[in-house]
Amino acid sequence: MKKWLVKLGLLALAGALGAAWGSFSFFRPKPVTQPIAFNHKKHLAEDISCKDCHQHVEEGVHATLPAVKACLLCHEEAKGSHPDEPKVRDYAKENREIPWIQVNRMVGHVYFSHSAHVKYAEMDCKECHGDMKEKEEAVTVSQVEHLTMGRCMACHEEKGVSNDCLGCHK
Amino acid sequence: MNDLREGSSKPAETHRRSFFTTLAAALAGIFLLPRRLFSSEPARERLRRKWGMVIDLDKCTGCQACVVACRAENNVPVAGPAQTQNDRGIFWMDMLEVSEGSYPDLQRQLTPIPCNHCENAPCVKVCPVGATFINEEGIVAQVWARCIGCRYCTTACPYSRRYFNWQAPSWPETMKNQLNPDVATRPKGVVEKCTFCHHRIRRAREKARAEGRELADADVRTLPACAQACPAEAILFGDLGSPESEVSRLARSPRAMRLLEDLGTHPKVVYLREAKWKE
Repeated sequence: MKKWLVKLGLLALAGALGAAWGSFSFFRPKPVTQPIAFNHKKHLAEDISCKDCHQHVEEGVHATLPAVKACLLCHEEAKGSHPDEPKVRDYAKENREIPWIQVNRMVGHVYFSHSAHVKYAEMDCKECHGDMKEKEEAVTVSQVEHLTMGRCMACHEEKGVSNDCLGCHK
Repeated sequence: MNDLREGSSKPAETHRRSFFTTLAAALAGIFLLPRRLFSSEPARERLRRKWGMVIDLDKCTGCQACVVACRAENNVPVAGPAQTQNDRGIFWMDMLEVSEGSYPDLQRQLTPIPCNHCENAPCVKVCPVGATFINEEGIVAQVWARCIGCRYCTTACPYSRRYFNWQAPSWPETMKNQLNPDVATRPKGVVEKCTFCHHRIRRAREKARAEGRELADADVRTLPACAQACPAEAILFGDLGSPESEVSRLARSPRAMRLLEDLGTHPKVVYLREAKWKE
């Protein structure tokens, strides 16, 4: 009788763990396929800064994804041997933008201004986005490091910035 | 002492009272003086704003542009005719009719009423989960998702300026792509209210910062959606904390009044109206 109960309990536990794991992987954002396998490491080693491609981080709320004409500044002529490299010129020839897929999205109830953090607070991009100098593969999942409210508030507290709810919440 | 109304009957009392008043003033002076003199952060003190609104009923034509503008700006859901008939419609900015007088001299005053953003807000006091609060600049705000939907606040608010989402928010198909990304939508089961368009204040402040100056009176004068839409400029917005601002000046006008002033809620929405009908 008791053995039977223990067995049932173990089975239920295993089931619950399986369901938790399944739902976790089910709800996790799926990796996307970028149109071009962009290598951050290689580009950042060329003395290009983040702001050169992700423009308007200092003036606006959002950072942007690079326009094809920014790529053409260097890739007008063939460069390197990567199979994706000529694609840049193909897009330009067709007069199309590169259909980058945005992976970093702010949740709907939070207001985050890049200019306030990058320009005025002089924060380094890698404090939130990790060290892109080491990233060789294309960006396929969100590239923001555990941005929790506690982390936002701790930094605001430390720097003497207002922690008023309305400062960040919409 | 030479006060004719009470001085003659109780000279000692008055004497004592004036002594205590002087003493209190002197003590307060001692405590306040060094802070005023040696304050190292004058800029920070300047930040203590108290946003307020002045609505001139003598200018208001009752066109309801403010009601529509508010709805569009703040993603206020459309309840539909049946729900609205059941008093379940949501109006952050509403137009109330106040009738005065009787038949031959009957007059109706259309009164736009947003949340009064009381300094002594009853809704904040009753919230059991701290979802609603008064922010640093006097705005009575709410963290939408923290609301548990108990509706104490809708009952406590003497102006009925709080609305419960009885159903999941919905908009007509044509309006779905017009939702304002600066304002979060509220789910079913939470209360919502006017925020004095705080997202617009934030934007104006960032613009001023980029231009390297302080937020000025002119930046916020018609900042909220209702004020911007008002064709008669009857709604003005500004800082009631600074005595020289336009709204402060208007709030001192003899025409100024606040709704249900006797409740002691100290609203930060001031109405202006000539008391001509009572003559």
